[in-house]
Amino acid sequence: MAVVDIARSLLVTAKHMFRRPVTFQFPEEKKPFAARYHGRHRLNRYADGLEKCIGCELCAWACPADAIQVVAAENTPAARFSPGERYAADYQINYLRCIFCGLCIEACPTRALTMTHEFDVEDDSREKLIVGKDRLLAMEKALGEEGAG
Amino acid sequence: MSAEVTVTIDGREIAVPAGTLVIRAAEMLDIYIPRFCDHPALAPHGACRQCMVEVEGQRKPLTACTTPVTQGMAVRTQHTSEMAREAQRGVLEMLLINHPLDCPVCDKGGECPLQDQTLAFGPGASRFAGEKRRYPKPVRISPLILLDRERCVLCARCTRFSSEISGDRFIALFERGALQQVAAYEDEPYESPFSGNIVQICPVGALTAEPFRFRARPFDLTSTPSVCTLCASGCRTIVQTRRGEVARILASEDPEVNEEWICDKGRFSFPRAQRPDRATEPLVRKDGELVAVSWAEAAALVAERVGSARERGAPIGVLSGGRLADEDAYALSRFARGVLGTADVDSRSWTADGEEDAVFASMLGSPGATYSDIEVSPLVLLLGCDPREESPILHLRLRKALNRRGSALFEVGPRATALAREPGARSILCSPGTEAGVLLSVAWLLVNPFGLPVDDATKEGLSSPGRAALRDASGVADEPVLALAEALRAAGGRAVILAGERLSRSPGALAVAWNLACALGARFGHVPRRGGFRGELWAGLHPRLLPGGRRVEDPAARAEVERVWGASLPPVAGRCARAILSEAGSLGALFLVGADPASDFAGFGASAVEAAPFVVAQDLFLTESSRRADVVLPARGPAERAGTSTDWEGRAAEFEAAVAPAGLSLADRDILAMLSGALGEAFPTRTRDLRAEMRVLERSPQAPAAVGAPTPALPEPDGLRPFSLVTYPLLLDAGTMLAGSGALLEIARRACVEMHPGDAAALGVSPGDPVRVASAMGEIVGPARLSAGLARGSVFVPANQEGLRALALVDPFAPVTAVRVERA
Ligand code: SF4
Ligand code: SF4
Ligand code: SF4
Ligand code: SF4
Ligand code: FES
Repeated sequence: MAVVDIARSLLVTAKHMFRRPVTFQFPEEKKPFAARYHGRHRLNRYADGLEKCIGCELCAWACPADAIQVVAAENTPAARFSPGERYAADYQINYLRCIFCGLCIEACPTRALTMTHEFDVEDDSREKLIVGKDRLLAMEKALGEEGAG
Repeated sequence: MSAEVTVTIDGREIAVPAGTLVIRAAEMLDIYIPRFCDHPALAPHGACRQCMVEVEGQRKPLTACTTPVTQGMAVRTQHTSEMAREAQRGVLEMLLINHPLDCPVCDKGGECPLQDQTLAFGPGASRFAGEKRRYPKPVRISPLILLDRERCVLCARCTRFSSEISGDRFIALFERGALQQVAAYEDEPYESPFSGNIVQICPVGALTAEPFRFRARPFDLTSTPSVCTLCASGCRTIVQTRRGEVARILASEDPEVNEEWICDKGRFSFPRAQRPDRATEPLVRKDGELVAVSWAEAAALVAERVGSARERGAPIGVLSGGRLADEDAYALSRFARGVLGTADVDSRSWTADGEEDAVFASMLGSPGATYSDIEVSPLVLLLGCDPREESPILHLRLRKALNRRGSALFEVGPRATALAREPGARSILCSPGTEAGVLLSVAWLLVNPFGLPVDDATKEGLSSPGRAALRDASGVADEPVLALAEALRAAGGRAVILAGERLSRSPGALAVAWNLACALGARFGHVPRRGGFRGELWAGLHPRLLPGGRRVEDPAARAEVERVWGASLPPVAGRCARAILSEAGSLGALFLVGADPASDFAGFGASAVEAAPFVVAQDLFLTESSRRADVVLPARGPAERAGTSTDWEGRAAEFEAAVAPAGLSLADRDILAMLSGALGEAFPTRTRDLRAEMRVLERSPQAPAAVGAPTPALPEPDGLRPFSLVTYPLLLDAGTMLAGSGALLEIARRACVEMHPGDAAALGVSPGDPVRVASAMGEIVGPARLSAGLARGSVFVPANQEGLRALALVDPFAPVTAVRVERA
């Protein structure tokens, strides 16, 4: 009996020796994720470069981890950040709190907030993990709404 | 209205007074009927149609907010009636047809009745597919208020507030049908000090306030119930903070006090706490400069200088300025009298005769007038007070009494107030300083021909020759005086007499008014301008009063206080603020606790602070006075400390701290305890110990007692006449507490020199002309404004308006400042 069992398990091992490995060489090598994967957030822009975020705080309201802080302000003709009256003067996500649930992007009425496939959110201090608008905002104009959301 | 009727709402029976509206009756049963236009403080309007209910026997649904209940009425609300449900759903769908649904950028989002009621009672989706009505976003209807017409549901709450409550011609509904819209009157200057209330009662985000726009969402805010202390109205407020900073102040409800309104000063003046001139650490003058030191060093220095002053026997002066919480005021009184051993304590900016303290002593020990008394009184006599500028909520209450209750109002003074325009109001204009003469004449009429019983001394006083002379100088005709006397006789004990602090500028007038109230059995109220004054008066921050309105001269009263404090008190009356300041050079030390004599007394105060050898200023800010002090001790601001505040009625209300204190600041009472410690004296260190002492010192209420016959002073003739200066600060001025309040200051009234058209014609002045007003103290030039609401021979200049400070003209020693007026 025991011999048969051992042979059977060895067979399993032997089979795997001829299969392609599932591991890969991160970070040199990266793999695509499922389309709806919830990675790091991004704030998107319109084609004309204006920010989509209107500072409505609905993302902050939806967040179960209280990870988002938005402080809104009013656009002026001289300093226009978004279409309409209101924009986010300050926008921060605290990645030490975020649980990547995606409720925030669900709540966003303008699809300003989406989640990318970037998942390697790590750093060596608390401050660096509270990410502001400077790092969340898409730098290119009209960077779309790829990823989940 | 007292008859009761029984109605059934959703099958539950309730008996209510006849005439009750269905919506109110339902509230009594805890049944909520959705509504937009209905507001309990405003007249029923029936504009929005949201409150539809089914009434048995009626074919169509009725609006619950305009339908009074009748005997046996059976009402079915949305909870039990499909008809009501259907009607309400329909109305909501209609309202949303033109609503922009821009909740994400709307300040009301999260506390919006339209959102809430749509969610609770509305349809899930709209069937409307066309273009919505569009208007340019937002219209700035005042520097403080913005209107977004797309969001307006035309409930007319704002316009009804304007016409019914505040009485300002500010906004109204224009056009009809789908184009109907709220708009500001274009030709009227925007001058309402109550505009913030319409933002609070707007059931949608159509009205937003500039200082709060986009600053926070309701869920960001932490609310702390509080009390506004900027004037003596005593408004209950809610201070809302975000991340440790005040974001918004809302009116809270107290039917006995502010109902549910507050003024714009109380609502929008909060950014002051974050100002750069805020004192955040103890400062001591070294080599002519104020430098930051530790609390211990500052306290040691104060103790040393106080010690040496005592050794030399040099007097110590203590001034407060009507800005303290009650506990702080009491602590200051105890510190000044019990620890420093001085009697030179004052919180007033006026000098008054010997009768004033007798009036205050009796007033503090007896029940006085209240807001509710005013509302039911048939006659209010208003003296030396301009409520719209000095106690705005009192103005609203008086307006309500006049408009809704049909009360009558008489005011006696040199300048008509805004209330003079209301129905039933009558202004008796007299030259400044002669109010005592007019009041004595009224009293004489009441006593002699009308036979009002008074004691002999009063009767004798009324026959003094001074009365007639003063009466002549007042320039008042016989008819209004007779009318006032008759009205007072008719109203008797139901009359209310309100005296502002400016009545004390006419020597004897306060005592005559008080005695009149006593003789009639009428309620009396003293309305100071600053919110802390009443508490400071109670605490004994007055040269002749001890805590609880005890008089210094009374040995038994002194002994009661000495027992509680364990200290012996100077048995003499102290000097008033002006006397202290005029001999500032001989003081050992001058303590300014929330007092700013360099502003309140202009140049005279500033040079007194300079002359005093050692000045300790306990203040929030580096004011004109504290920047001249030798030691500046940072005190906590209104939202930063807990305490009690007493309004003009004498009603006390406790409040909690809403934000963390600025820098190293301490509550005034804690600073005083620290200084006592440095002086080696025992002092209560906990607020609750101070409160316990205050309770012990509270006197049991007595009946108000008339004071001795007043001694009115005759106005002195002098070369500069014929003009007398009338001046007092307007609600929104260049005062310390308002600096840095941004948009609020934009609605402050433009300063001008107000004069009677007859006087202007005699001087050849037309409206807008530059006019020079000169007194012995200085001169100012401002544009003329003509007003018939001013006594002849008087000129009104607001005390402290940006660019035109009449304070610089005021002679600190004359009850009335004489001025020369000419075209500049
Ligand atoms: S993903 Fe979830 S936890 Fe993270 S910020 Fe969004 S709502 Fe908050
Ligand atoms: S990201 Fe979206 S939900 Fe968040 S504030 Fe901006 S617009 Fe609103
Ligand atoms: S602005 Fe507001 S309060 Fe005024 S009518 Fe429109 S919805 Fe009503
Ligand atoms: S009326 Fe007076 S107490 Fe009331 S909010 Fe205005 S300033 Fe404050
Ligand atoms: S609440 Fe009744 S009609 Fe508006």
